[in-house]
Amino acid sequence: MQTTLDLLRASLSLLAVAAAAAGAAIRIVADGDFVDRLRAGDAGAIRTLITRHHGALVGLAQSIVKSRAAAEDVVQETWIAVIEGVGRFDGRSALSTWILAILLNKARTVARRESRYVPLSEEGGSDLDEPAVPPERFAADGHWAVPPVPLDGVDPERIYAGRQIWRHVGDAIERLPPAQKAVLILRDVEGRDAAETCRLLELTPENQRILLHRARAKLRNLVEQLVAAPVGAPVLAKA
Amino acid sequence: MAFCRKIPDLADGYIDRDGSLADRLRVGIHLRLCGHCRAYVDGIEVTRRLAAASLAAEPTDPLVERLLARLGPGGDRLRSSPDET
Repeated sequence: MQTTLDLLRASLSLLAVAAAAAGAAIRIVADGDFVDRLRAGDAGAIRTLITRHHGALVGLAQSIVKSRAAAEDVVQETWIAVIEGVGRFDGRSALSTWILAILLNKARTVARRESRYVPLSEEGGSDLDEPAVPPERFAADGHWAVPPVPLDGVDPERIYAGRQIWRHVGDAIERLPPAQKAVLILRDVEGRDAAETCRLLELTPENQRILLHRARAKLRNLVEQLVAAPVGAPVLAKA
Repeated sequence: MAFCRKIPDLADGYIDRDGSLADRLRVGIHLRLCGHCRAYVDGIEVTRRLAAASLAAEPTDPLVERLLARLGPGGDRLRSSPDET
């Protein structure tokens, strides 16, 4: 016999599935007009598309091909394939998903050709078991001994340690182990959900969860140290 | 034992809404009661926005022009979009 809690859980699960499907549907519907403009050769639409995704694509490509120069070549080839092939895009997936799949295929092909391909599942980094927050920041009773620094209102353009904070974060993302970098870009920059990220990067759900957790924790730690540091003090957080 | 120590490990599942329902409910209730943990979770959201901002750099104009030129001789398939005129 189902309890009220069971029914509540089932209802919430159905709502979550429906919301995810609706979100995906909205994304695909919103793509429709934009794809029509791309197919018509609208230069403004092409420029918008490239601007929207270029940085993320370079970062993703670099997580596979390793060198920045090779990554930029891969992304350029990806854009060519996208622009020349958009007439064949069938709209069954979101446009951005299609673009990401093209990029990842091209990056893996280049890496394999240069005998440098390593599956991302094997490039998670050696720090996956480290806690997100050092244990000494908690008291014996589990409360915060050293509370988190609030990051409300931190503006990407604001200067910390001599540079805009977005540049510090960008550098930290560059230094992430390849798999952590790829997962972070897909989840938090491109807005992909966990299932799609696993599919695109050929990761298990648990692996993806751990990689994202570690990447976010490192970046949060860095931002906290930048915000909390006295002016002129060196920032020692590594990412 | 205070729940605070568990928040860093449960925060992602709460933010992404893909943790267990029970954990998300526990985190949600705790965040209403604990300002420190709320600061931690809110800080992850800020970090995510900073990550997106850090990769929003525009491609160089020469790259964009090269790509646009690939569309055909003189770019004859190209039309200016209304917002460009």
